[in-house]
Amino acid sequence: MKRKIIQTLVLALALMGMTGGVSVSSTRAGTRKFVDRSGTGIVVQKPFHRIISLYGAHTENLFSLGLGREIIGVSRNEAYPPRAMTKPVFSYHDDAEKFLAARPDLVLIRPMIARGYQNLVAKLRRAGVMVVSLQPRTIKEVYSYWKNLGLLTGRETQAEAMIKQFKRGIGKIRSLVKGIPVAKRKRVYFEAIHSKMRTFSPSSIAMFALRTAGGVNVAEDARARHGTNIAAYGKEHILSHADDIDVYLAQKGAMNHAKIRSIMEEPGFRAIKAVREGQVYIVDEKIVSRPTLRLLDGIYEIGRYLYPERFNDVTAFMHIPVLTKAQFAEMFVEMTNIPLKTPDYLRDIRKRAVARHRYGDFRDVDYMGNAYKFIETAVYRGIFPHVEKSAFHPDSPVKRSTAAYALFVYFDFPGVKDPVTIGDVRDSDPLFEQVRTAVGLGIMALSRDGLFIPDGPVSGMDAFKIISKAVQATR
Amino acid sequence: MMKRVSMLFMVLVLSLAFTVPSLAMGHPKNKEAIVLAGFGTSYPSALVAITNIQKKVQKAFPKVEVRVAFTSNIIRNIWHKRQGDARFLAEHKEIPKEILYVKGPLATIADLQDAGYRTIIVQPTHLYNGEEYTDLCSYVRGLNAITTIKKKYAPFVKLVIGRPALGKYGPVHDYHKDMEAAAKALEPDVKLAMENGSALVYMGHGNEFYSTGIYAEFQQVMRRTYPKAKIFIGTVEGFPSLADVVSAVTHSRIRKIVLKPLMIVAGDHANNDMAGDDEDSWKNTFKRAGVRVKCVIHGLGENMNWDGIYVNHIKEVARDNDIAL
Repeated sequence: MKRKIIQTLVLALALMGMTGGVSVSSTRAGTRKFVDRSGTGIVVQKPFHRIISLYGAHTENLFSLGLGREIIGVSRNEAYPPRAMTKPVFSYHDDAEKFLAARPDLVLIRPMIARGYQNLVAKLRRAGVMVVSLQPRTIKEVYSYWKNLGLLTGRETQAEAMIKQFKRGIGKIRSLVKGIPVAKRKRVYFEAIHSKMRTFSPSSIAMFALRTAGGVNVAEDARARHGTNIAAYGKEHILSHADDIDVYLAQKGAMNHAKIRSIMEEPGFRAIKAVREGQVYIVDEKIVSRPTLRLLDGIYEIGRYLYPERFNDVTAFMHIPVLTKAQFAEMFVEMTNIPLKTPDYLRDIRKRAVARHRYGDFRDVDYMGNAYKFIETAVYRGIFPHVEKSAFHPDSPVKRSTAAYALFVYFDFPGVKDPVTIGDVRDSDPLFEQVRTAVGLGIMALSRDGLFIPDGPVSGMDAFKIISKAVQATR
Repeated sequence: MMKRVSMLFMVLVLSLAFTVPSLAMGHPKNKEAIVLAGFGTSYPSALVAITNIQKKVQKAFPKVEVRVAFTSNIIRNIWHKRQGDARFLAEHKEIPKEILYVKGPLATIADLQDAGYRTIIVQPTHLYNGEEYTDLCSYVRGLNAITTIKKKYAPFVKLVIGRPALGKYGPVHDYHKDMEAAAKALEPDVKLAMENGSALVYMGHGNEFYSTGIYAEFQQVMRRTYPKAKIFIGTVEGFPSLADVVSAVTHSRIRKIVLKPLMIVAGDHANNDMAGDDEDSWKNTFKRAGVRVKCVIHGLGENMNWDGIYVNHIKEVARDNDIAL
């Protein structure tokens, strides 16, 4: 008996030591086990199918695993993927009865909730609801975390596919930065919380993102606070690297209301090279600190700040004879290095008037694909005329007049001195000024008979040339 | 001789006793002070708008104590945190100590009263008689309601409030005249726009709970004052909205504008709502309508003519209340 107890103890300790909720092979066919972040042994006899998720990253991953109907509740302010906005909202402030009334069989939480709301967790458990606390801290833990979500929901194959997809993405990004010699790598300070001068711990997901994007963390000596991914650093410490910081990066989210101006005007920060040279950038916490597939977007975004010429490669578009609106959006966003627009918190999305397009509204755009982020970025930047609320028509050809419009909105062009006569765009046309400017500055050309052909198509090469010329004209 | 000396001494003692009753009987002193009250700003680079007003007012009333008060709690806290920040202080020697220790209007008035300033003029740096001005008037009214105390011990001899830049309602000071003076003060903006071959568009703050019709009226005054210029005024909150101004501009077939905040300080509103990169910023909304935009990110406080308006309003409220400054 004693021996058995010791064996169990050893097993439990080994499992806990592996942290993050590491999956363990089956004991019996159909039964799976792992230990969650609270140290609770989780036994999965059959997949759970009425799930409430109290953390945006869990929700996002459940959707990535192909679940939909099974998600019966999400936490406040979730907005990605857009389908999350259609789910009932639950909070750890709510009474256990509210949860129980929805008859969940699984409630996914994270350690912060497990620690702070033990009553709620205990009540749910007493009522027979499985409560699992998960939150990976390192990239290795992210993979096992995804596997565990697959295990809980019967989507193990999809979890493997997700890991593969993620690793493929990482491979692509690594190939982009592979050729950069060590001496030319950008050295970065990555701010987690401005007011307290905190950075991320070197083993955190955010620092994995920075390293993968080819950045060198100047705060390698930062130590994590109480097992979190945040590390105290201090102003003096940051300033001791002042001349080494090529890029100052700050996450923006509920924890850090980062503003470029506040960083630039922070006392003492003028000593920092990145501040002096205007290399201060903000990146959304939701894509750099969370264990989801969108971490790839975060890495890509950091890469665009560090090495824009490598990350904004548009050669793949050059041979396309007729660009679609989606392709034009991507080319434009890349060539101008516009920061990616990520979905706001739900409360911010709801601040926009209902009649206007809101992030996630387009029914003809796949919000789990790749193109949506460029489309929404372009739309939020205002470079498309006449945006409908719920339809973008991503596959329809982009018109020449749209290209002229995009240039006019994005760039601050000088005035056109000599009047230009355009055969087919009248003074009364709503896009007259935009077209006249693009033609007058020699950015877009007229046909031999003096026509602009506003509804004509734009090829990949055309787009490349006109955007390049616009960059030149405003340099 | 002896008798004469003692007589003199007696006279001296008596005269002292009568001429300095406040010292002898513990009466409060009375000195005059001015409190310049406004929302405030946390950006050192935008602060110049406020310190300019203070300098102008101090210069006009060199013998009077002039203090600045910020109504925003958040902004005051930001400055207070900087008090002990050696780096900040070393880098920003231009920041007056007063700003680092800036208080709200209530505390500023109380401090002055404590220090013997019992005649106080509160001069708002606000643009018009809106929500913030009304709030400030409530403070002043509240303090003036302390009337049960014996007159000689009353906290204030006089506590009065000046009117905002565009005046206030009522028969005493015709607000139309205030608007005319404000329009004159904005000549440099009009000149800049005209030299640029552009219309001038102002972005005012406005309000969602109070009527903001004064902006529309001020637009008319500006147009009358500068008949050759094309001038439009809109507000972030209320009427005329951005949509109203954009349609007015495009309806007039204007293709080029100078865009400027009609606010005392060029802070977050000017940088984000007006000149930000989002599709719904003022700049981009105009550009989307085919209008070329030049943004000028300077607050009205940076215009010395404008600061003179507050000097005049202080003079007038002093005169109305028989306060010698």
